Amino acid sequence: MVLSISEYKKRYVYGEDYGTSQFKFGPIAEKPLVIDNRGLFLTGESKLLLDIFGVKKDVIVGPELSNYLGSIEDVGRYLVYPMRDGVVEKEDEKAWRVLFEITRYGFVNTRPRNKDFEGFYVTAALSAIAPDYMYERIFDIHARIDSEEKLVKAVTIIPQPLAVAISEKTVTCVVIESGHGNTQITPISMYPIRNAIVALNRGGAEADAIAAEILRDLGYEERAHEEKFVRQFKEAIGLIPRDLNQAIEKAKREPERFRTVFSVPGTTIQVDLGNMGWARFLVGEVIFNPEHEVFESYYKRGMPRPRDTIIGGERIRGTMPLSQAIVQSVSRTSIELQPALYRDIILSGGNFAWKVPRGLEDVAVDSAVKVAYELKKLGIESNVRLVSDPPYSVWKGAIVYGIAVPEEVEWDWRSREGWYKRGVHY
Amino acid sequence: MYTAGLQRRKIVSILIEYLVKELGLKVTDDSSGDFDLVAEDPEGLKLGFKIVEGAGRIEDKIMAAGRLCHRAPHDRVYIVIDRRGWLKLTGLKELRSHFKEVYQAGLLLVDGHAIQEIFPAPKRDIKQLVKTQELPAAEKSLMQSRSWSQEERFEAMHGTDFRDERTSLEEETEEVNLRGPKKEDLSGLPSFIQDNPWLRILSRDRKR
Repeated sequence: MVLSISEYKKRYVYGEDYGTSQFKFGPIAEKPLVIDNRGLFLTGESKLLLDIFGVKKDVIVGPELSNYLGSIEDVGRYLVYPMRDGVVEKEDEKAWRVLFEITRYGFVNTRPRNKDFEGFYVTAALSAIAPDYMYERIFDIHARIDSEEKLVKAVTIIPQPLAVAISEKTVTCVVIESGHGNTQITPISMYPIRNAIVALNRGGAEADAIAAEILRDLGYEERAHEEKFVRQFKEAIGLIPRDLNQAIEKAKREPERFRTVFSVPGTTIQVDLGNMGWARFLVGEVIFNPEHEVFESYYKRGMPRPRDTIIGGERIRGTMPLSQAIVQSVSRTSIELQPALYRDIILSGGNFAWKVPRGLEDVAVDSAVKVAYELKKLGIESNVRLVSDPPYSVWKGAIVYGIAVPEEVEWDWRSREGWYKRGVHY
Repeated sequence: MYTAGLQRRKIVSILIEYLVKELGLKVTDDSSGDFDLVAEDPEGLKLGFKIVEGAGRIEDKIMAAGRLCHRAPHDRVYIVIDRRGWLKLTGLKELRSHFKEVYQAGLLLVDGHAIQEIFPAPKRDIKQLVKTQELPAAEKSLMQSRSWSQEERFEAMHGTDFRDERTSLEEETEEVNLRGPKKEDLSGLPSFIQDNPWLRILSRDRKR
């Protein structure tokens, strides 16, 4: 095979990972840039005031957004997180506006100054279950940005699990991508096996939800409403148990060993878990098995139960244990392929990036060990690993994809491959 | 369990019955001595058949048979494998192209008492053949690619009647030139791009 990558693409390929909570973006490099996938709409009084100070924008994205946040009430009213479970609602024009602004933010902040620059070759990565209208809107966003700024020479879109497999340099595998909003199980053999994909409507948000309940139980009701605070708290104190019942029992017997204090840097805010160290394991377990009986009391008091998904007419319950969902997905592929798939299960996404603190290795595990353990309980031997760079694997795969697909390949809705190009499509 | 000699004789017997009764060919002698069977059609075209049994390393055996086929003095040549070898074969797409362009041979599968043509044998221009030629180094990496899935075997045997994302992509893919990949200069690019097998997969030609 003659492999020919244009010099232009080697310099000006650009990747985008539209995650539920973060947007990763940037031209070719070892790592992407990252901003929150959210936007603040400046309206009414706040807009008038800012006009006086020379602020003309009506939507703020990026790191400067924090500067415009006033009280907690303002946050709730005007702050828009456009994606839920990796999907943007078709008619939610505010959400699409935010996506437009974060996309443009990425280009404007990375625009090369070179004279030969005529626009990026952009690969955008979306959820494996993103509907067609999302593809259309993302293409449209890039076309509009190019019409204003001449920054997009061509754009293509790939499923996030494929991007992970590409970045991991593995052609046959199961990719389990778990971000904030959802978890997608995608068997891949040269390309995603689409009719075997299983999507669960749960991810880091469920861990956030149980973390918020823990905050409430500790007396921090107000902080429980602040998404960013809850997420930081979750990441600081959460643990994955090898076996939840055993872990809780041990933590209740030895509370001091599992006690921790969460502090917010640069502030005086502290949250001491005290004797509730056992609850740390709930944060990790909910990702892998939200059907465990311990969560029933939380659902009863209002914690949202993960919604079911319906794909191809089949209902997948939102609380299905992750191990069962993996088996269900792989069982939809051919018998001959299944052993190869179980031999390489790759976990990707920030929701799997859990550490094991020193001294707790007898009860706490990482995500890969947890998945292998749960599969073994179902009688399946497997090799499970984490991606080498969990937050950035999708973006890296997008970069490789953009480099490799020849420029002359035009977008094909049937195969969902190729370039949506300036001068051809817009 | 057949011994190697018995298995070979069994395949020969099934092949002769197929060539004579199904295709109306006449079995002749192989003057070169390299092929297990040579047959002649009513127009005088000669067909050579080289049997490869499935025991042992199939890749090496296919490669050796391929070398013979490449310099064979016959109008069409086939490599004939049994079911055991068929299950071990790797890299469907690349193999198809290899058989056509490098070995210039077809592939027959002997499955029980049935014979199936997996790849057709191209008509060869015997005058253009090089007498002795080493296979390119890239051959060896070809033989180490992944196992065929059941879908790929089904596709090879029955055509593209398998509803799978990959099948529709592969239908649009032109045959790959496997004379060895051009060494692309990827130095200076990030580590996750270097030595990435997806570069070759994604940069394939696509039929339009």
